[in-house]
Amino acid sequence: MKKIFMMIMAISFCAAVALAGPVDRELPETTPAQIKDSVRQMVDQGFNPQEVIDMTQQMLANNFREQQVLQAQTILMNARRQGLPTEPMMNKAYEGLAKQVQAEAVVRAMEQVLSRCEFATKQARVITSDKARISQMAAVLAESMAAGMNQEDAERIMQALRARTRNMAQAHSEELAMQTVMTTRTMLRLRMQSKSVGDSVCQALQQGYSAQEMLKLRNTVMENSRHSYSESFSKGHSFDAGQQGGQQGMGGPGGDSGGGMGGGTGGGGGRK
Amino acid sequence: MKKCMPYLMISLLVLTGCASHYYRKNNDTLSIFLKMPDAQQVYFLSSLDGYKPRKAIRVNNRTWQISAPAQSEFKYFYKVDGTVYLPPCRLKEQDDFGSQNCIYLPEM
Repeated sequence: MKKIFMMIMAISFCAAVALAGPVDRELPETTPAQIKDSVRQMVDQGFNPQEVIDMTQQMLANNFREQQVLQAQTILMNARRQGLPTEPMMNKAYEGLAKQVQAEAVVRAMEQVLSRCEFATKQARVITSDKARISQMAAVLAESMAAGMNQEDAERIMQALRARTRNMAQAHSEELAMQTVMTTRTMLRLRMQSKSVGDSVCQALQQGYSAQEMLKLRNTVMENSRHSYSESFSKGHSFDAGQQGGQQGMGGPGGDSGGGMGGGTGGGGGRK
Repeated sequence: MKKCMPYLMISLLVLTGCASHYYRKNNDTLSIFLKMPDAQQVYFLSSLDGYKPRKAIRVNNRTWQISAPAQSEFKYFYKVDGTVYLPPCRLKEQDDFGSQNCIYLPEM
């Protein structure tokens, strides 16, 4: 009996050392106990220990206060509890650290990313119950919002999508929804206004666009922006994409595509 | 102040107008070029690896180069002589810090 008790004690001790090991070993000695506890909690939740330790180390090295590190960790744990991806928030933290923005701004930005993910997932769940599809659709919708779409316009598009897909087979409605959010994201990334994008995409859905037509609309928008970019870039610069042989330019002067793009998409919205 | 204006304008042109940014795709590899003649050090930071700074290679006295996978979408910016630099780019997003990021799409 005594032997069994000793063995259980030894196994428990080894397990405790193994779990606490990396946290205590790799975080600076001066790390507040509460942060270490929070890191352990994250590891218990299934976060990759090395990723959490790296992020915490970087935050501490960049003069984050205890409270700010804990806030950042709480945001990540909240996301995981809701079944949301944590990578966008973690990436935002790394981006903020790389840009050397203030700790407070990094935490605020992580909160904004979480809030966009929550909203986008809620919207995607109305369209489909397939987990993989929800996650894909939500990621694209959240990125549309990062590119400038406001909640009101996003809701408008999702409503139009629901109306359009009401009598569709699940596979078709999911495909149309994916193509719709991808087209929306591209338009916003090309710096079109949220309202214009909302109007164009809703109009396309009301006119009965299929997934294929939505894809075509996206390609047209991309193509138009390529031309509009080339024009404005060659006007403003002595060398441009066209003059560099097989190379493709990545952009023109600031604000290059705003007006031109609006016109191009308006045209694409009309269905023949 | 008036005397300084031409110098200021020239500096601005050097910093913004003369910079160019383009890429070449070679199978799975994307080579990104940044023309920044006066830079001493250029780093490329992207969402591909958690915004770890990757040193760009100077290919001639005006141009810097970095390689990335051609088939992955990513967000990026540069650090030129310690300062965040966003090149002219077609696709962008807000960065939640009051600035923007460039976006590379494989189908671009």
